[in-house]
Amino acid sequence: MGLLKRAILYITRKWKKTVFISGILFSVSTLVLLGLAFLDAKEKEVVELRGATGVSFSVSRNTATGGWGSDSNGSYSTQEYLTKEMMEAISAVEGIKGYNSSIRTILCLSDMEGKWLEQLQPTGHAMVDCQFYSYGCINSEYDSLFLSGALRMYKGKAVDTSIHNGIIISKEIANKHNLSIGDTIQAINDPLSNDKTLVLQVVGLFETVADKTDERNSYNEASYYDYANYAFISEMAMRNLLENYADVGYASADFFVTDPEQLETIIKKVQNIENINWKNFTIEIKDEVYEQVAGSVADTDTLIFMFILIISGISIVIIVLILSIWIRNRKYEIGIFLAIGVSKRLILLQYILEMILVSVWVYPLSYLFSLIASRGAKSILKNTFSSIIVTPQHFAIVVLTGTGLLILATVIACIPVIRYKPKEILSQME
Amino acid sequence: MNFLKRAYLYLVRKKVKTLFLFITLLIIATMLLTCISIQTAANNGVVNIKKSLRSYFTINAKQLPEGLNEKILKNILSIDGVNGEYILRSYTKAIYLDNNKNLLKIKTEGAATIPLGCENAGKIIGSSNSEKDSYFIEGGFKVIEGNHITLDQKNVILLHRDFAYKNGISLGDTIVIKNLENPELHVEVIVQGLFMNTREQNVGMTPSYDLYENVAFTDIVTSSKLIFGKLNNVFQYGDIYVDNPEQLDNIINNVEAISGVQWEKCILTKYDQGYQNTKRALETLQNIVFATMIVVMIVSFIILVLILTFSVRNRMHEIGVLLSIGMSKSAIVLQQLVEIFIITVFALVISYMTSFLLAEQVGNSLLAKTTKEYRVVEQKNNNNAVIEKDSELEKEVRMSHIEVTISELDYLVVWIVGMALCSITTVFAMIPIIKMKPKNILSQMS
Repeated sequence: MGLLKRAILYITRKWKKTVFISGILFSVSTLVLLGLAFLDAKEKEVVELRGATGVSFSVSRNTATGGWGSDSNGSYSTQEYLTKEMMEAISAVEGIKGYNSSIRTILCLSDMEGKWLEQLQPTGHAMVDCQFYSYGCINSEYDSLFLSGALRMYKGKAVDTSIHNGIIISKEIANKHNLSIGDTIQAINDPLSNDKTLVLQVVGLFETVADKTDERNSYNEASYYDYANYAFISEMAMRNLLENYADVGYASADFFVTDPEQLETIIKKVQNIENINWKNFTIEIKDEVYEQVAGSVADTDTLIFMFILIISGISIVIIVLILSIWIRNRKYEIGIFLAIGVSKRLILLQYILEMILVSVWVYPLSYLFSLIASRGAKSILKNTFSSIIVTPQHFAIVVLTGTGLLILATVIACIPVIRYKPKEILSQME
Repeated sequence: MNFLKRAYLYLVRKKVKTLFLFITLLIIATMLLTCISIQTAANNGVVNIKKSLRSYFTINAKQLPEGLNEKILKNILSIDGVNGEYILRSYTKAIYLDNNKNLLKIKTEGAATIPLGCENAGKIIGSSNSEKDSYFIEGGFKVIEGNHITLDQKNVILLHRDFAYKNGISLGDTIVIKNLENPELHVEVIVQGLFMNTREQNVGMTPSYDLYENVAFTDIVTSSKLIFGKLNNVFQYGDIYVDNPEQLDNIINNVEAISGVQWEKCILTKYDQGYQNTKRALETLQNIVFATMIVVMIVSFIILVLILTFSVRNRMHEIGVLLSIGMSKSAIVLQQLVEIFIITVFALVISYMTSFLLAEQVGNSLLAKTTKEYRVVEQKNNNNAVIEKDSELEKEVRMSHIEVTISELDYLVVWIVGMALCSITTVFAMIPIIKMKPKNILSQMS
């Protein structure tokens, strides 16, 4: 009787035992498969979590190493400004997800007929009431007012370099002047000069979340304006509006990183950018929130990792244990085989073959089941579970290590039995 | 021979089978206990993350002429979920005088206006923690000499370096700040620090008192005297920190229920952007832990049921013999139950130790990881870019606040579930055998 036939006969005739072993194999491999998927999902979420703390570094011109000039307003730095090329070179470093820099000025806004748009609560002085505190943004999404949650986009989109003549105004101002997304308005820096008047299109509306009356917000000139009288416009438009002014430039820019753990590497790369004279600029890391949470995030990360590692480890121990017992139970059978002259190698091979025949069915089933289970979890828990995916790689890992372990367990369990002479084995039996 | 003795004899004589069952039960119990403890710890980790996101709400009571006082603060701090950390703030303008009551000079160049009466006045910020003030956090101010103002200080002031130089003031000198409207209200303060601005101020529409050089920071006792003429701590703004950002709305409702304050004149704002940004990732992490737990439970359950059923079914022959010699069915079931009970009890007792050891290992690995956490930002020498960083954060030794322990309750739950599961499975596995006639059982054997 061939090896294969004996193995098949054994697993079909002893079907209860086969079902038992399959059941345990199935449970353990499903557990490990899901565990692997969970580990991957955890990794992704931890990176996202770290990234969500908004870690950034800002590059600012170093007023300490530059020259100083003075005029009627007092002294001012003559240090060089950041150029668009410099910022683009920095943002091209891998791991930087976005950046923003802004030029602030006070713009006078009017409708297309040239009628001034009034502020939310006008003072009665026409020349003051049309003034809006404006940021020319590279990417308004990364402006600290939006990142800190003080303002929130209500409708439309953020202004970035892809939009040349866009403006974001407050919901209140839009309501007051019957403006909606797609409408155009006019802007000028100083109506009493020969500054250019530019037509801007409303691309977005923001709403105010923070309490502007809180005097904490009064640390710069922006405090003289209500948030509703703020505006964010495309940087290109801002440059055009301010073309008459020589001393306009980007004093600093904020660069946001995807994973704070990469921050140091990124900064090193940034410092190696050749076309920037780093004597003239300082780099400041802003990672307060990350610093606060890094410890607990690392703890949680380790805990979940250990959690999955330990259960996978323990379940593998269980399967090895059960297999050894199973084979030990076949001592009598081994004795008989040996007595009728079947070689030890063949006996071992038969057992290994049986294991493989059983597990061949179990692995795909548990893969299928894990897929269904993870999809099920996804649909029940909606978006929070979208990151859990059982991949073919996970399946491959389980099949390979699983088969390896099964063979190993079979061999280890057989060795103490096979060592004996058939007579010894048979006489040991009750 | 009664069933107890028989059970005992079976366990002792079938050593290998007993040992096998014992080890399997021990492993499953250990797995469950360790899982529960790590799961609890991981959830605590998420709670810690939420805590460390430092969400807070601000009470803006500027419109209340009497301000907020310590009694109200005490009431707020006693609300569940408020973690006791807070910053009190007040804002005003005051006239600067030296200790001989001579007016001090302020900067006026670049000021849009110098309002009447403000020729020697500047903005005064009363803060219980000047380090956290927006001028320092967002405006780029930096203390260059002396120290920041903390909660328990009184009669101290931080001045701009340029203002101090201009007036010949140095650290430790005494100056006087006087209320603009009410000259009766004046406080003598000691200069305990000098600061400078690292960014230029966009002037143009800035009135004289708001120019950076004319701004000063003082403690909350001083600002209370200066603004309200009260000796105890009265303040205009309070930033109150909470442990769990999810409870912010609730806590704010509780604050507004405190009597004796015209809350309708106050503005309460929550600041939880950090939490809002991380909310989704946190929820997923928690769900992963939860799902793992469920999977472990189900798998342990299946393995346990399979093993117990199999070990009982393997004894069909024995049961047939016992039945045929006239043993009562209940005695047979009881014997099996006693056997399982004895093994389970041993496994559960020992599992406490094994899982304790495992949990300890996990705890140690946490400590190992946190000590590695130091972030070192080196100053590069080959070029001159200066990297600035809050040095205190770096020095702070981060200790893990999570303990991986096995709570009594968890242990009890594993006991109850374990015992119940073992006995129910045993009984269920025996039902079909017991129902058969001994003749059928014995003739079925191979």
